[in-house]
Amino acid sequence: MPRLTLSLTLVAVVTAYGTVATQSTSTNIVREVRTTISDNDFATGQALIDDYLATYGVTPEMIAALSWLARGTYAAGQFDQAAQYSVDTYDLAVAALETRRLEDDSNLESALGAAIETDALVRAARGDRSSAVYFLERAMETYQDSPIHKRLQKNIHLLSLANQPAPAIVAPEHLGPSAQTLEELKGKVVLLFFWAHWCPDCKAQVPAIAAALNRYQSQGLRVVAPTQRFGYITSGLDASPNDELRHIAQVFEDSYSALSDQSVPISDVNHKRYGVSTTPTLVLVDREGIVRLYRPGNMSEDDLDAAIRELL
Amino acid sequence: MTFLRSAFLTAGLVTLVSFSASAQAPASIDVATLGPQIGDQVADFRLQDQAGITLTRNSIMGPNGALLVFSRSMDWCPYCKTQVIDLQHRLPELNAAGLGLAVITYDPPAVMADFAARRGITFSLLSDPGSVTIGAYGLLNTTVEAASSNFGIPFPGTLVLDRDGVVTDRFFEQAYQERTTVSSMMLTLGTNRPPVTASRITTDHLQVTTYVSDEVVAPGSLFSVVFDVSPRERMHVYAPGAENYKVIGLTLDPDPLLVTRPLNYPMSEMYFFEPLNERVPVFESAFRLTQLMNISAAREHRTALANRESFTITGTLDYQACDDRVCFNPQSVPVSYVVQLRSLDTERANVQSTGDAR
Repeated sequence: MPRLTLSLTLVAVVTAYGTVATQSTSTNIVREVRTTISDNDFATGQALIDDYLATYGVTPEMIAALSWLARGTYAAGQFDQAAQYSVDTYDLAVAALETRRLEDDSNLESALGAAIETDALVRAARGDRSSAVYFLERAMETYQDSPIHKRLQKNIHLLSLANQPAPAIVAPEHLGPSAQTLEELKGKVVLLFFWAHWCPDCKAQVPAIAAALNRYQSQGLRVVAPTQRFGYITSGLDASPNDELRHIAQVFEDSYSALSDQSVPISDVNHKRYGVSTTPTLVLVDREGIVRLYRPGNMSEDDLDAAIRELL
Repeated sequence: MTFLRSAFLTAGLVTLVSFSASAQAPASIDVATLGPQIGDQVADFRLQDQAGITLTRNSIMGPNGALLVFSRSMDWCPYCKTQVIDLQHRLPELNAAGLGLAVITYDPPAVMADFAARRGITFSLLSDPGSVTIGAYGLLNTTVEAASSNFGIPFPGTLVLDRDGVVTDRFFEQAYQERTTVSSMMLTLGTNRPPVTASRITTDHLQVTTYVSDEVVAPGSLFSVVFDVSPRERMHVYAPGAENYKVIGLTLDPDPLLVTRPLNYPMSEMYFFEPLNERVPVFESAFRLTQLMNISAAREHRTALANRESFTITGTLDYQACDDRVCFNPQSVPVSYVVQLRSLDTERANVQSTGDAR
């Protein structure tokens, strides 16, 4: 989990500067910071930015330089720092975009794209693949017609499990019928529905999945609904494994009755293998066992229907 | 009969233990109800300070009002003296906030002058001979025997006054050892600023600035751990009352030397989740959590604290976040803080006083 204590200089800057200075500067802060990064000397890079700020204030060049610190620390495996630099870069870039257009400023374009990309890469590196993809998808909606759209799309392809062999699903415990392995389900189209007992969006996803099952089960659609324990039950109270299992069964019975004939493997292994840190996450596996869709977040009935039909 | 006697004795013991634990404030006296309440205008007074100058309610005022601190003794009460030393350290902050400051005790002016000289106290220490003002304010400690030399002390606490003498806030604690630090008061009053030593935590869901209100505390000083939390775009975390979710909270690693109060939450917002027709209390915009705590002032912990110079507080900030489309796995973020320990001021006055050491 990220934890970071930074000099609050930058925090103050982010807070204090509503707008970005417009004057051009004679120094090339981007080049200077990149030089320090090539030596993995991030402290000097930060110091250069601090000095620059004191003289020139926030400029698109400074924001771009900061984004290089995000990229550099990520490449060095310093994920906490990379996440912090990404967020700082993002916040400054968004503030700057209040007075200018992204397509008119290559520094801002580069900085914003790098900030989002690095944030997603850090999430994925921490095992939060679904969170990374979801974050990129939301960013794509925000920057739909902008120059960074392609860059975001490229990263979704990179980080999603789409077009890769589906990792095996394990079921040391389960609700409903015994879980068949994905190997055994080859020849079927499998919808993996990762859910959690505390997740309202998961409950809201049930009708669309039930409708798809009703429509396509005879054509080979199968649903497997993996979940896991989280260590607590109602009201966030800590729970023993047995108590939580009973709670999961109760929630499933109350809110997932339309899926009561489907298998529910219970293991955190499945979530880790699929990088699921957000629920619901929907994964479609084709008849050959290849992931064709990796979608964190809800899907509408129409979108889900269309995605399944492509594979039948 | 034997059973009845046993039950009676047990009940008596409970009462004694209860009385002893809170010392001057047995369960029957609720200090929250004593003295001027928020919205009341306090009475004027004319009291002499350590320099012999007579001050009144109006003359202690800063541009934005004043803190009027009722204290037990600048001679024999270590918690009181330690609090006044804390107040002296925080005087610049109070001045910056436009707040005047005065402390009232039943001590004679000579005791006040002696303490002020020994500890470099520059603000007004007001003597209330005969506890006339203390009595008029309804704060006289009536649990002290009239024959005792300690008779005349108030229930200790602080009134925050506006320039008209109207109470805008008050800090009174049930246990006589406990005193809210100036920083904690400033937090409540909303006039504090995060210190430069604040830690900034970034998660995928939140931006958090966290810090401890006081870098130096004494046993019994009520200080705060603060979380200024900003949910990231579109994100919300769950607030108290959210039945099926993990409510954001602080889990402190248990330590017998650390006494904690319930985590203080601000008002939450109501989130409507249309697909389930569900309304859930959440925090969506920036909010602050404060955890009041103190290093134990209990006698049984004095030895354990005797040689300690600092105290480390550790725990986790726990929460669960969702946005409008997706929920994120519950998170547990480790946090830690170090406070330096200040010894209680046990040095007695060099002039004749009235009370007994305690």
